[in-house]
Amino acid sequence: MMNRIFLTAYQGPMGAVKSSDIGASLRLMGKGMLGIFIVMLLIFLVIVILNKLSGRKK
Amino acid sequence: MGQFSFLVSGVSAVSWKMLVMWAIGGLLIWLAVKKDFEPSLLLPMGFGAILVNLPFTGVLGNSGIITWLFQKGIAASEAMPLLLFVGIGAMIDFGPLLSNPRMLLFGGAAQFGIFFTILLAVLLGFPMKDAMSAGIIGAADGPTSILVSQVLDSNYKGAIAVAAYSYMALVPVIQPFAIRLVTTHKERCIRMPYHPESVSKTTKILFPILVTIIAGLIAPDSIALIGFLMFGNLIRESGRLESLSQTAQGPLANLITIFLGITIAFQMQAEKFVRWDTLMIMALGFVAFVVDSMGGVLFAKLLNLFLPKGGKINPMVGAAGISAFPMSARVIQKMGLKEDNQNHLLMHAVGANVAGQIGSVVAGGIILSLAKTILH
Repeated sequence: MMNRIFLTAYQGPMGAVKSSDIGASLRLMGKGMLGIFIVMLLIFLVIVILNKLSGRKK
Repeated sequence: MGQFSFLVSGVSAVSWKMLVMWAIGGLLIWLAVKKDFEPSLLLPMGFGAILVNLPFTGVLGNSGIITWLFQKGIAASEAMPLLLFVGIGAMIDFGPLLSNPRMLLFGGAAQFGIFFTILLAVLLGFPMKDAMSAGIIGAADGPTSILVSQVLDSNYKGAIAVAAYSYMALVPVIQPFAIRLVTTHKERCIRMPYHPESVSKTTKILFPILVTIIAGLIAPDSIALIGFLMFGNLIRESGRLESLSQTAQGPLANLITIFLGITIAFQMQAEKFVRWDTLMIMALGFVAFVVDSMGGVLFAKLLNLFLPKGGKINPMVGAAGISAFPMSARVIQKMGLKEDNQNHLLMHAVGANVAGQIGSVVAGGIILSLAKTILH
């Protein structure tokens, strides 16, 4: 059943749904969230390093 | 009588779609004036919606002022939203985030609604470029939404701008609803002691420069947005440009805001706006906001599985990882106090909220980068 959903295009309320678009949007979700977290983790590391180098106090 | 027909030609040219747009314009002005919902943007947009939907309106056409403002201020180089970002950058104090950098993770997690909504829009049958543009409403960031929908040349630019700003104004209504759906009373009562740590001036100055370099290297299409945001912040934190900082936060941001709202109304012409699919875009924007909030909350709950008992995160703070600053942080503080009148979450939420400012811009840049391969 799942395979059929992904292989078969169907008519959605706003137009024809292409299976390639579904795949593309899933890839976009994966790559997009991964990209955001990579940027955030790098910024996190930058902040930690900056705070260490500048010797912040509580 | 025929000689005076010019007096009634305008009246007879009014269509029902124009009347709908006048009503929408009136609603936006009412929300701005009566409800105080993002008045600086909803009021100009509301008035602009009426202005561009008068028969034979002189503000449109080749020599119309709104056409000129739109073409030069938005279509040509996205100048207006980008210049507004300089002002926003000058307004933001990244201190709470620099003091507690783990809040950055929520600025990432709370962008999930963008991608979920893109998938949903595709499943409904929207073309990919419109699905991407609808999803970016979830960035909860007006300038980013405008920029992405313009660059992707979406058919729903007007609806997307209206949805982005309207839902930002409705954060105090939308977020409590979304947060309650995925949290228990016990979770909402988790206390988070705040131990601020001083942040050096060097860190505050280097932060915008380094973030620009990182974002530029990984998501080059976000560089205009993040670069202008961080430029504004560098002016603020330099400590040498107080006058420029005040100008960016005040007169510059105000001037752009006045004209941005009325310029966006260019996209609110009845023939393009009063359509069934516009309503669908607005509904998708609502979903994006709700799922964004839930994404942040659920990510906090996931982190709590690995955190020691005394160091748990109140999951509501995760929802502040959207870009709507400072409304979202205020909502979380209010909700925290409502559950437990000694539970002050404001500073944690502010940290997540400014992280959301960065996250939303990065998300916009990543979508634009990936769109190049997906749409061609």
